[in-house]
Amino acid sequence: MSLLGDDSLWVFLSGSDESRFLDDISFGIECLFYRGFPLDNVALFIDQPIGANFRQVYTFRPGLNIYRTADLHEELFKRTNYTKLVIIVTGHGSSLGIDASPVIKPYHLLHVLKSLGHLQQVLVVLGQCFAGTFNFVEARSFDPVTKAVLNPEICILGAADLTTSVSVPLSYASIFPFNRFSCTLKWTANLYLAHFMEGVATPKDIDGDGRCTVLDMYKSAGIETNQLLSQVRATAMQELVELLQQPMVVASSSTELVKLFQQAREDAIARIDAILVNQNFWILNANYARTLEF
Amino acid sequence: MPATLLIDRQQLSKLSKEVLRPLGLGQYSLYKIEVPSVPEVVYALRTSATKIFFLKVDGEPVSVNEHLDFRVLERVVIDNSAEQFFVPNSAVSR
Repeated sequence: MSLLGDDSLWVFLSGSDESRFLDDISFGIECLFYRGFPLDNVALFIDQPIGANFRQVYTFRPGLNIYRTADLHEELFKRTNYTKLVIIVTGHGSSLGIDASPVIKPYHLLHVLKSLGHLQQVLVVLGQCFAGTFNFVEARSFDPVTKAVLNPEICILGAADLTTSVSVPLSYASIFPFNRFSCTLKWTANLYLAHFMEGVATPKDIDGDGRCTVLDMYKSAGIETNQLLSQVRATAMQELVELLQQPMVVASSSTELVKLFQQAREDAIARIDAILVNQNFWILNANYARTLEF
Repeated sequence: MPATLLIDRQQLSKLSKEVLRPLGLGQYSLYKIEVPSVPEVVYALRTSATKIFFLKVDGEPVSVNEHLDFRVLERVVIDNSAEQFFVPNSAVSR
């Protein structure tokens, strides 16, 4: 069952319009375009939490429609001509769920997906922190009388368990075929999502069964993410040492400059926190993932 | 492709290395903006999904009304910022 057919809809979702998340989405779109996937079958759901239009300096491929995340259910409900749905989630997350306006909790997302009876297959790839809050949910619906499995059946991949996922500066600028893509090729990428979409563009048969399935992409993205994480941990330790040697406060007559310094210091500590935990990947409904191909 | 302006980090001389680092890492985003009511403001430094600092041309932060009306002109990329590190994607880090 190919997820790149005319009957598939791909959705990219982010509760924040920060540059790195727009770059994640842009790279994902280019990966689909490379595979010849019709961009009419792609929809973007991106919130603008500050209210300013940061997206206006960001040009996605023409013809793509952008909605608020709050409109996800309504927009998916309208699109009854699709039988397969893939949702790629970037942006922030917390223990409450996907950080959007409003927050998307696991039960709510599942409720939306299960209400879309016209769909047969659904794949959700969660790149945000604390994606594990969506694990162990009941991915199938059952007929109350016959107990038969009802449409749609759902497979979920998580880039992180009950902890942080990370973004790392990546560059595809010199790597064929990505160097031909019309998007920013050097950005601070959600590591797992970038490698997952890289696998969609250039599929790999990890288990050797002659097919390139979601399960293969889950594995290859995890392997490549772990390889890069081990490289950057050394840099993280170096920053920790530097941070401990720096003054706790900055002397300045500007209140705003002091505020900004303090913000940067808090964010540096948050970055270092991220090295203290492992970013464990997970998959829900793995048997089903074996049947979904690219 | 985003509309992008490339500048050298030395142009933002008022910003400390502690601030330039997350900017170079891509954790923070910098935009050239237009603020009719406060013409000295040239950049918006976005440190999270919901937080912005307004900067002069040399990077000095300016205290302004929280609900300042502004227009985003370009995304700004800092040159010589090739660093490798990671940035958490958690909402709690805001």
